[in-house]
Amino acid sequence: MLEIINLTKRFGGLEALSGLNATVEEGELLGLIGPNGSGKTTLFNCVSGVLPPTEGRIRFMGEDVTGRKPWETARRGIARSYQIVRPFANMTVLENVMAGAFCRESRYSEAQKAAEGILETLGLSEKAPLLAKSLNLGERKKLEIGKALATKPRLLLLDEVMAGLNPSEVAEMAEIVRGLNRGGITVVMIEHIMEAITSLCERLIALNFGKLIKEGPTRQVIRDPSVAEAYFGKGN
Amino acid sequence: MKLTDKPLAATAALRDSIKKTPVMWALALLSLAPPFLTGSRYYQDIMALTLLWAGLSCAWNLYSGYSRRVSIGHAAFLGIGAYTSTLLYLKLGVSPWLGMLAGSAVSALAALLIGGLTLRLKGAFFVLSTIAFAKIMEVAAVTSKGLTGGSQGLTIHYDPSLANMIFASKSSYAALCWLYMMLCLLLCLWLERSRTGLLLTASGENQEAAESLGIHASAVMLAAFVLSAALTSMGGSIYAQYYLFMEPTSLMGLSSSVNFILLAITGGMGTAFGPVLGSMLLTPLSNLLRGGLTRVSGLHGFVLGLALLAVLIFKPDGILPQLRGFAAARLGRGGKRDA
Repeated sequence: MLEIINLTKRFGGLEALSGLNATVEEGELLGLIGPNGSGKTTLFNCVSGVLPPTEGRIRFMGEDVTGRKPWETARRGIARSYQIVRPFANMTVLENVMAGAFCRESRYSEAQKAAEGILETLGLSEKAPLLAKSLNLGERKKLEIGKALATKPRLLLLDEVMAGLNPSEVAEMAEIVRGLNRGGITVVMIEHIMEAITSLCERLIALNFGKLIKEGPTRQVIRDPSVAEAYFGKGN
Repeated sequence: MKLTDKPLAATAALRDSIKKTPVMWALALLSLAPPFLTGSRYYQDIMALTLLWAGLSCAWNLYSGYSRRVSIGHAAFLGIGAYTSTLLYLKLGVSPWLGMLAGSAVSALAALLIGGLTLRLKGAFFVLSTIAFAKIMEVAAVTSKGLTGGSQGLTIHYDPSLANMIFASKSSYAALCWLYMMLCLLLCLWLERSRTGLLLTASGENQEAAESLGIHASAVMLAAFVLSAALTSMGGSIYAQYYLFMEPTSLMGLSSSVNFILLAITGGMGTAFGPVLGSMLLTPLSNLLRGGLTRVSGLHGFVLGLALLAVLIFKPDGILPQLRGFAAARLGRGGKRDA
């Protein structure tokens, strides 16, 4: 479904991604791991069109989407959440989700209906008329997913949606993500919480210094010495 | 909980708005009456200006209020509207009604060019670019003496007729200004309940987040900016026909640009009725102070400045949201509160 071909992204002298090759199969729930600065978010930024890659191609559903603008990739079915949540603070929770729903619905009432449905599945219905800035972090993370979902994505890129949540919120978020995947949405998630990754993902891709260091079944990747070395350094 | 099951068609949206803000609707509709109830041309003048500036500030609000990107250059569009209709009238005998539409088209085109260049700028850089734009237009009008009369200005000879948009009675002007205000107000009310309005607010709040949701943020903002400019320009043509005189600095100077904003901020920017309320409070106050505090020169400006400062310090969201909060609190507590 998604093919990353020889992708390189440079920021001045810094190579955030260097010649990365990877594929995402339709329907899978893929984990993207790696230490801070390994290029995970940069990869999301390139795929979603926030940053144009320096070299390489990105193909989505057989179409070359390299360098497409974010609103173009969103309309093609790639949605993302941001690690640092970006709610429209002075709009209501419902309006936040509607802003995403207008990606598919042009009528106000239809977008509203779609948004209400999404808030219900996320358990945020009661918050619908409140301003987004009044939500706590857990609710904001859910809203972030709700906005992305409203665009009816085929591929959902989740950037650390569980960071900063308490254990019960993590469990709830894991259920939400699993539900979305079962509902037919392909998910790629960046996550540091190992419990969540091992329980959700069947396959992992591990990055370090912008390069793929290991990919494969979850258990195999997290036990791989090169992955441990990337996180903890040599000798551990 | 479903917020509403009804599809929000135009009439349903209108009904919804009247139900939610009956007091403001009454105020806007009834503001047509006072100019016809007084015989004093002094008060009629103040009322006409109040309605005109309510409309102009609504036009500004349409872009800057909802996107929260403050333009301090809207006087440029006021000037384009005034000069276009006046020049067409003086040089070619074109009725100002048509001139008003021509001015709108010119302003829309100018907004398209300027907006295309500057809307991508963030924060203070956008604000500064709008100031620069208005200044350029002002200087251009001052220097193009052959066309605009430069700083000496242009005078439209008094020849009252409907076709000339020149009226003998000030109350007729007030009615025209009221129509203009209602047009701008209704457009803002429509925007508040439309897809475009929602996408505009989202784009203004966080452009990158909006774009990830499939919103072509810069196109949405440009469209609103162009519409806002075209509407402001219409007010400029009315302004010219009302004063029958125009001069670059009073029309396009910084204080003119700032007036758009002051009215909206005082009433509540990003709310449809905010600029209307702002103008109804400030325009009469400013004119009455100017008429009343004549002993010390500049005293009216000082008093007005203090009033504005008080609003900005104590009610930075504007007066309208405060009134709403107050009404909600009273209703919510069963009228227990006295004052």
